[in-house]
Amino acid sequence: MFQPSLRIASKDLKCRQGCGFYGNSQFEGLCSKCFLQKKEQQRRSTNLQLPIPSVSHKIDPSLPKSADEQKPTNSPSTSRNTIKKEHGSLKKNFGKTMSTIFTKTGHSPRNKNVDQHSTKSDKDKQYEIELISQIQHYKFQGEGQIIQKLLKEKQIIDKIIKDFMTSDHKNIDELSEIVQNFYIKLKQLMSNDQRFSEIPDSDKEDLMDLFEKSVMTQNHGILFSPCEEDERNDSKISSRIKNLNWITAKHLACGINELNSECRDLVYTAITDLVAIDSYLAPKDKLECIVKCCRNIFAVLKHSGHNGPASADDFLPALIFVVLKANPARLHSNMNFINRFSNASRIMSGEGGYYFTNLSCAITFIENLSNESLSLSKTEFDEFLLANGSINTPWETALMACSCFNDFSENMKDIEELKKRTSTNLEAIEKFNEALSTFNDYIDESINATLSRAPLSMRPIKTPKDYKPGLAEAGHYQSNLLVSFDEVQSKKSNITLPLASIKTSDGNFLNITDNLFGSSPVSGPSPFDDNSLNGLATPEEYLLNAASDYQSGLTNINYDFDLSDLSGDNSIAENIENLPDTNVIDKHDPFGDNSAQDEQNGNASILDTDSPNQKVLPSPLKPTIQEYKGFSHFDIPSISCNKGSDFVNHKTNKEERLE
Amino acid sequence: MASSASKDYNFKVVLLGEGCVGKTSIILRYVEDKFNSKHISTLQASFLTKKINFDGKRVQLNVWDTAGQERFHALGPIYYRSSNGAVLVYDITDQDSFEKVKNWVKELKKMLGNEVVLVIVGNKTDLEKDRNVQTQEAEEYATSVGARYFETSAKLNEGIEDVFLDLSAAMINNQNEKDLSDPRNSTLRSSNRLIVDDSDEPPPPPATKCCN
Repeated sequence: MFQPSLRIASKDLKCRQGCGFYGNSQFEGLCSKCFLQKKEQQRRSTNLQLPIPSVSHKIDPSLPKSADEQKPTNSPSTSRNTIKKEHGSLKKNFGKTMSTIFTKTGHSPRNKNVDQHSTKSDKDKQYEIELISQIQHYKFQGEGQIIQKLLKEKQIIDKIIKDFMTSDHKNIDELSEIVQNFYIKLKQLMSNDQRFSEIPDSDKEDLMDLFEKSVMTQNHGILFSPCEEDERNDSKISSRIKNLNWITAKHLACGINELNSECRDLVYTAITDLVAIDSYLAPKDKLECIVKCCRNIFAVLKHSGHNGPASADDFLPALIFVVLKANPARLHSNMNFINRFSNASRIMSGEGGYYFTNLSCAITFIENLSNESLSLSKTEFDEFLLANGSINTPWETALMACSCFNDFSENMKDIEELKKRTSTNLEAIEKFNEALSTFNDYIDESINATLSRAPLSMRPIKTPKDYKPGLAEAGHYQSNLLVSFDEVQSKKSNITLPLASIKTSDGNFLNITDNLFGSSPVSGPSPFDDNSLNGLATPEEYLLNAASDYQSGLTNINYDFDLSDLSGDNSIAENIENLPDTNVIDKHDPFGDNSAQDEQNGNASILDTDSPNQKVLPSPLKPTIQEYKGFSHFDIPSISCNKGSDFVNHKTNKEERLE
Repeated sequence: MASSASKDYNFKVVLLGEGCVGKTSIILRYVEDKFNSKHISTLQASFLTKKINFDGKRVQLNVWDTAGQERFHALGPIYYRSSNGAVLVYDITDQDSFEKVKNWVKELKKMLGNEVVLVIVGNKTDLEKDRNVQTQEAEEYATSVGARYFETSAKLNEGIEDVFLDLSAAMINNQNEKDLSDPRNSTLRSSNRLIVDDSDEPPPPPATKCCN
């Protein structure tokens, strides 16, 4: 992620004296030179009698004296002058020697040892304890011996390093070789010594790493950036990178997709990893930072749409880009520290070694960068350099621009997201509208279909104005005679209860017709079906049909006897002319709808048992008085006896029609 | 660095060649046996290791890809420092890439002397019809500088295996000779002949000087 806040501003890394060189936490935030001066001052204040330095500080011939004058010396120069003056007044004889000391910028480890003597032994012990606990973590067999041996070795190498650094013969590269050989010797010892024979090879490597880490952490102070050259190179590369801040991924042709936010995040992660190199003490940890950084770069390249795995052709430019943008603190010192004191087998081979080599290449490339390496013309290149110089804090500007772009792209992302959501919402609305309209159509259609199947137009039903029970009785009686004499006999009792029986008959008829409307299957071909499907199946018409059937008398449609049976009282053919009223029928409709389901079974039984195939037997509906009472409870006050007469009246009509 | 005792060898091989001659394809073909980049699982093709068994000896090849662009040419020495072998790739259809190989050979010879095993590889034999560098010419040149010569096609997987097997054999020979002539040299860094006592408590070695 983009975390500019995590970065340490370069000014915080600089020497507190403001001399322009990088400071070091171990030197109390001062650069090595200012630190030495301060120490010297302190010592002088406690001991006015200046001790004659026992170590003759040989000036490295490779360092020309003019190098000191080149250094930006603002405040330290004044302090140095005052020291010089003081000193000169104290012991003029030593003037020359002392000025050599003070202008000498290299470390003076011996002095440091003296100064830190009291704390050093404690620190050493602390490191030893740390190492022991780390080794104990592995739970080796006979770990006591192993620890003893390693501690012994550690003391030896510590002593070698300290002696070397305090000796007048101090070429850091020689020390590096001594340390490297010590590592090799230790490795051989581990593979040969029986105390280590139980340990698997991979753990031996780990032990080596722990050993190296412990030694190097302890001696980091005197081994890191031990000569002026390192510091000078640090500051040189740092300002060089600053000047090259304008270089973009395009200049390097490194194919980093700067517009992809994921890609950019990975670049920032890689930068953070690389910057972290200065915050670790052990060379192996520093190397680990480089490895992490490089892996992230490969991830960047993957996200930038490379086909397949990235090769060195893609990787190196990307690494250079990251180094340029990261501008890690004390880059040269760190690289040299790793190179000198990390186990050489690691640097020379393996993944870490490869990445380290690539980083070295990147640094070399940056140092030697010219207009040709960016395929720019000389004038363009110079213009870029000049233009960049006018900006005070190019890195900060770039950072700000980066973060602005970051925000910008984030917002763009959000907007895109919102857009997407809106469009999906619109789509959903449209779909819903469509669904609504289809549903509408469907409803219309089904209504139309239903209407066409069963038009609501009601035929006027004529009810006789005058009801003549006596005639009806007679009619009914006659028709029933045709069916079965017995039945007629039994139904004589029904006739005495005309109202109740009529009511039931009404209900039954309604139900039957309702069933037909609902196109419920009626077993066998029946006249109801035909009639109802013709759209004529209003109850009244059914009654007509049925009645006509009955009138025909000897036809085999004898299942309708129940109709005649129940409404028999009213079946008076003579009343045909007197049926003008429809009111009664209308009132039946809602009632029939509601009760359709409930009475379906009863109806089915009516149809079944009355089917012509069966014996002509007394009707199953042969009413008992109780049953009739039940039906009579239907609160339809307007059902009149006319109903029955209806039915009978229509009989003749129907008969005619059928014929 | 190889440890002769266990007969395990660990070699560093640099892959040199101009951009687009097929360095990456060759190494991916060798390590993953794949040509089409879509099917390759590894994220990067710049540092790959391959373990092989050669005459009962375990050999680990660390192949370092290098950036082939012209502007990185000067960085070569950093890459091939302390490498045991170098594979120099050129495109048989591209005379320029062959000239580049000649440059690298010169540099390598200058930097590493005869310790490094050189293999010159003419890639893309599947484009035989467009050939611009004749086999004879390349072979003659290779012999003149003491290098091995192969022609390969990463696309058709021709000759790739041979390149690395031959290279391994040569590097093992090289290593063994070196070990024989100076056994100590195989364990200590060649630039330093520091002699350290193997006893438990070696005296702190005095500041040493290189004997060469």
